[in-house]
Amino acid sequence: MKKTKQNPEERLAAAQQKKKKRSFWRLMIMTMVLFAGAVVIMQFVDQATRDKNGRVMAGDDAPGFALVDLYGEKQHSMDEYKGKGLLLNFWGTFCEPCKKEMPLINDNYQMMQDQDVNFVAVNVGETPVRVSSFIKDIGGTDYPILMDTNSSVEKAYGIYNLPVTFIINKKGEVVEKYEGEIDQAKLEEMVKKANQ
Amino acid sequence: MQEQEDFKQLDMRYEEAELRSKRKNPSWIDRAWTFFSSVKVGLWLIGLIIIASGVGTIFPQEMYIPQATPPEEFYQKEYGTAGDIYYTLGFHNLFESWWYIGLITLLLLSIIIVSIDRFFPLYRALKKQPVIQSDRFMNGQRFGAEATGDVKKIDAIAPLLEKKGYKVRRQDGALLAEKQRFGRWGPYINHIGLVLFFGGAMLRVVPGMHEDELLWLREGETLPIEATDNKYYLKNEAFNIEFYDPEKVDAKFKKSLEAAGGNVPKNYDTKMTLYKRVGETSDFKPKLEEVKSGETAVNRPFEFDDFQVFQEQYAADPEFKTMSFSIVNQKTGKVVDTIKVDLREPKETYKLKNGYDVELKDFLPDFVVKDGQPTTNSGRPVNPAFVFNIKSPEHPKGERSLIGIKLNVGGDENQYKMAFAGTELSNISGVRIKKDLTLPFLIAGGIIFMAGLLIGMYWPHRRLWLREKNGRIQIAGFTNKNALGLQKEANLALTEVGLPELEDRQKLREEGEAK
Repeated sequence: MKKTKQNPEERLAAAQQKKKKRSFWRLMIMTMVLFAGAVVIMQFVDQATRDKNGRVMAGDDAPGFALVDLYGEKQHSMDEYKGKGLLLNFWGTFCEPCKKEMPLINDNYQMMQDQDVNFVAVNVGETPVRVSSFIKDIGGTDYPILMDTNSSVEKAYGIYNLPVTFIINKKGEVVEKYEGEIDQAKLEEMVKKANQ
Repeated sequence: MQEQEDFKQLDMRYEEAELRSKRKNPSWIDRAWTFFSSVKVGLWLIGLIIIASGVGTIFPQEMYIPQATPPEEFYQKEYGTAGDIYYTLGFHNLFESWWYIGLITLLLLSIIIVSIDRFFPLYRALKKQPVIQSDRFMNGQRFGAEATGDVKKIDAIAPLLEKKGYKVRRQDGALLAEKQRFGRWGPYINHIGLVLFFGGAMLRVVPGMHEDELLWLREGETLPIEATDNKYYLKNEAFNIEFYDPEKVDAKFKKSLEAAGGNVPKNYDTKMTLYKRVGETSDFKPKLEEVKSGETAVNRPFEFDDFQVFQEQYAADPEFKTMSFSIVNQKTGKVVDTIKVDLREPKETYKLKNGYDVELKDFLPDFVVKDGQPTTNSGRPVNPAFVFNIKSPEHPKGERSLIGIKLNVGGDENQYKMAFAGTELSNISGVRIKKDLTLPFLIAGGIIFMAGLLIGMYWPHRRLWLREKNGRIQIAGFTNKNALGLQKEANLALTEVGLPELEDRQKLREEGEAK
């Protein structure tokens, strides 16, 4: 506390200055604490809308992936499909509906490509021997079969039932998660949704 | 002595300092500040939080209810209307409900504002304490006394008080002795601890502060750790499990072991190696660099960076890892060669000696026949079956057979057959990978909180003022806790120099009122 001689006006001005500064700090402290609280609340509200078991749902951002195809020729990653619609299908050779829907998908693959929608089928961690034998049996596919060797993509998407197809739009958001066999009508609907 | 009745006892809690909030508050900022600076508001908030926490224990929290029924139905079905209200108001997930976090936030705000509002004026008041105090001050203290005497008595008492650990200041014959001023900061220190603790708890929601992942690792398997953004890979080198042997334990445990039904694990642990992903190989496989190896057992985690890997579970049944087959010439009974098929990474062809080849045409990990077709039920190697094609000099195109457990289709007519030659099993270890950067905040907060409590409780701030005026000596004493302690300490010194003992004026006044 310096005791310099000041005239009343100066003292008043100094007091007002001090008060302004104090008000500023008070506002800062209150804003910061309330803001932190609001962030925490928003996080919890956001978490509540998400699935408890880590399943990716409609409205979520699609988790990224980088998987190699069955023949080990090319790595396909989420990034290369950004900006286009994507149907991300999970399947297994032991799943009957998967086997049934595959020829239908293959017949429509060109149509999907023409409409700028990609289709990839991720196998859930089976061995290449098994998968290639299976694909040979059904006569091959034009669309890429990706091998999720250590099931990490399966885990990231929280897959419990097969087949399941995620409709992902141009922005990389999941528009819909469809569990079950795809038929012609459903596939056309999916292509439309992926393009929206 | 009679004069004392004329003086009101002073409120010494904040040294009579003007509380920041008690000034005139024209703006809304100051008004909000004043509201939260009230201890009463803080106590209300604490009360509400306690009540909410209590109500939250009436019915189970969401994480403890059965998974089968969705929570919105569970509470209604199980507890009727009360359960419905409970769920609607968010009590089922109390610690993450918006209004509970809101209350905690307001309490934090209250604690911070209350502390700022009180700490700074108090600090300033204590920093520049005058040695000579007014009559009003001296007589307004709870403890005091008065007697005839001169400055010499005050001079004499100074060294006695210093010996007791008081800091003595003198001015114009008057004396101020003070001890353990830091005891006054106890509540503020403890508030800092509380803010750190709650702040740390709230930090959990910040991405990267808290991770928790369960990873199932087969022996020999290397998997990426999702919690590290797949930067690190973990390999299960070996899983070891020991069971209690009912024959070898104490008789009194034997009975309960048998009651538990056979296998009670004594210890289980996993030897593991941690790898870091440093790039990618040309065939798109991760390039891994070994970081460290170690072991994790229950309660003894394997640690790296900020992560801890805990042994948590194991699969009850081990899984088939490899299967070996001998290629036998059925005519001569001679074994040509033996192959070992890794069930996780089976090869398509196995080159053998002398121009023999075995092709693996198909591998069915969970063999079953559906509609007359051999197929697999799942991706897990539960009941493996193999379609082999044996190429030999005699049969360059190969001879096919389907081989499985107790299964040999088409193999009998062939010249060469695949004979089962053993299997290797692998255990599956479930490890929990955890990271919690909020823990240091919680620990520091807890320690600071306790330190503040202890300081506030066990180090009372004691002060003694002595002043000579017109041939009389005025004595005043202050302590914020443990009145008897001050009296004992002061009285010993006072009587030694021939001054009267301290009186408890508050007690005298109360007794006077009682009469």
